[in-house]
Amino acid sequence: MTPCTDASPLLDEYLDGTLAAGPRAEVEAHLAACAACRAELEAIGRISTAARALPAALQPPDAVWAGIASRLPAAAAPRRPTANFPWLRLAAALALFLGGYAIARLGPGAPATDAFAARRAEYTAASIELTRTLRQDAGALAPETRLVVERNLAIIDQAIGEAEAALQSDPGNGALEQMVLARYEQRLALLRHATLSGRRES
Amino acid sequence: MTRLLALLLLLLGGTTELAGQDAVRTGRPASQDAAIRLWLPRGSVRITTWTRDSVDVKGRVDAGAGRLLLGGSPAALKVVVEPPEGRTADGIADLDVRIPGGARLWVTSAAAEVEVTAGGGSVEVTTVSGRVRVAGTAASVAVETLDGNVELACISPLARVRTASGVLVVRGVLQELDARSVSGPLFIGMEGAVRQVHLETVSSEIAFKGDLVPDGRLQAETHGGDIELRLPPGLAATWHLVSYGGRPEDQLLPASALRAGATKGEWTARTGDGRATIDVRTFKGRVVLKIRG
Repeated sequence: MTPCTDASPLLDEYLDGTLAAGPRAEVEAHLAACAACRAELEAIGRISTAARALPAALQPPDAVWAGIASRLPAAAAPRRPTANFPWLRLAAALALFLGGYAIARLGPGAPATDAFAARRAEYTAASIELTRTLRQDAGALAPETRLVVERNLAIIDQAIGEAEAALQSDPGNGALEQMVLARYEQRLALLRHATLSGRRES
Repeated sequence: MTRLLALLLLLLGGTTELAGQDAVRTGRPASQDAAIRLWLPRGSVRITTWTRDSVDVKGRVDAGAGRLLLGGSPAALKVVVEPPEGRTADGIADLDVRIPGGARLWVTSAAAEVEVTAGGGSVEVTTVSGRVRVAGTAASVAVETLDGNVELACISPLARVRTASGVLVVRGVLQELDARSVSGPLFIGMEGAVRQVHLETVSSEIAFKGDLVPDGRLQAETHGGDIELRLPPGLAATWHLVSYGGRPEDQLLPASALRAGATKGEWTARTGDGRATIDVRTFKGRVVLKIRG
């Protein structure tokens, strides 16, 4: 049977329906026999659904995020190699959440400028990709490095949440939009650096 | 990967391998503008320049750190502490490296302390942790570290620093500086007039002391940290400050020069001919403007 370490990175694509026939069959066979990965797939599905369900007139992201975050550790906790890196799960979840958020902002009547929304969507897509890469390489990071990355990602994510909330109260505020984009950019830079650091330490 | 690296070194023109070593000493010819790449996992390395056309390496490499390899051509050399086959390095290397003055230098490390005294060439240092210090004169400086503290005490037209949680201290003559961190504070004391400065941190503070050329540009941004700028009292600039943390504390600009802008938290001013640009943004930190002492 395909091991969890091989099946897990494919779950997102499996859920999106973009997996080729061969890998899809392998994932399905693995899921049939692995309760842990089935639970993970359900968790990813819940996150995607929650992100897609965000209304165009946005609710405070903290409330939605709190709901997602409270479910994630339990879903990701006890079993696979990446379960030792719950922060990466949270980072992936936040990236997915922000992706939904950005897409929602692109809808008709969205208060954000097109350029802002487009750039945010680009950052979010790149963030999802890098988070996925980092999850796959997570074992390469030294524990102390992992802690540094975790701590700094949390700082950035809190800043993004606060700036996004302020932007909701004051849509179209150019200075706030720039602050939000700057935080996304820093998030990407940190994920990129963490990925490279893992390769240096391994 | 390590095998591939060793193979590349061999293909580049032969490699000096110093096996089973503690004390090491080796060297190779190098052109004045050679490209020199140095890699060591952990320990410390001090790099200085000299007038000779060669690279000289001496120091100690613990058996657990791996082995020292020096290879390449006079135009492009690699100095590598290669980890032991099949396992992670658990020892350290402590090296003194001398390179030609105009050499272009790249240093990559996981957790080594890196000290470079540049002699005119470019310097690029990438680490995960470990202190990084760059002094001397460099064509350009680039430092990227996840957790290491960074000190620049150099003369260079261009410097770029990225750190997540390290502390950045700059004391030097730079024309352009781009420094960004997540949670590390940025303490910048520039000598001479600066053409362009971009300083950015998410949660920590920024303290800048310096001057700008007449059409210079200073950008400083934090999310939660305070921003303190110490500038000459007569600086002619267009000021744009955004501070949701309250009205800026202004001890620098002429009385009533600072006015509320079009949107909440925005403040603007124009002094003199307004040629230079000061752009400051903080979400919830304080902005403090002071006279440079």
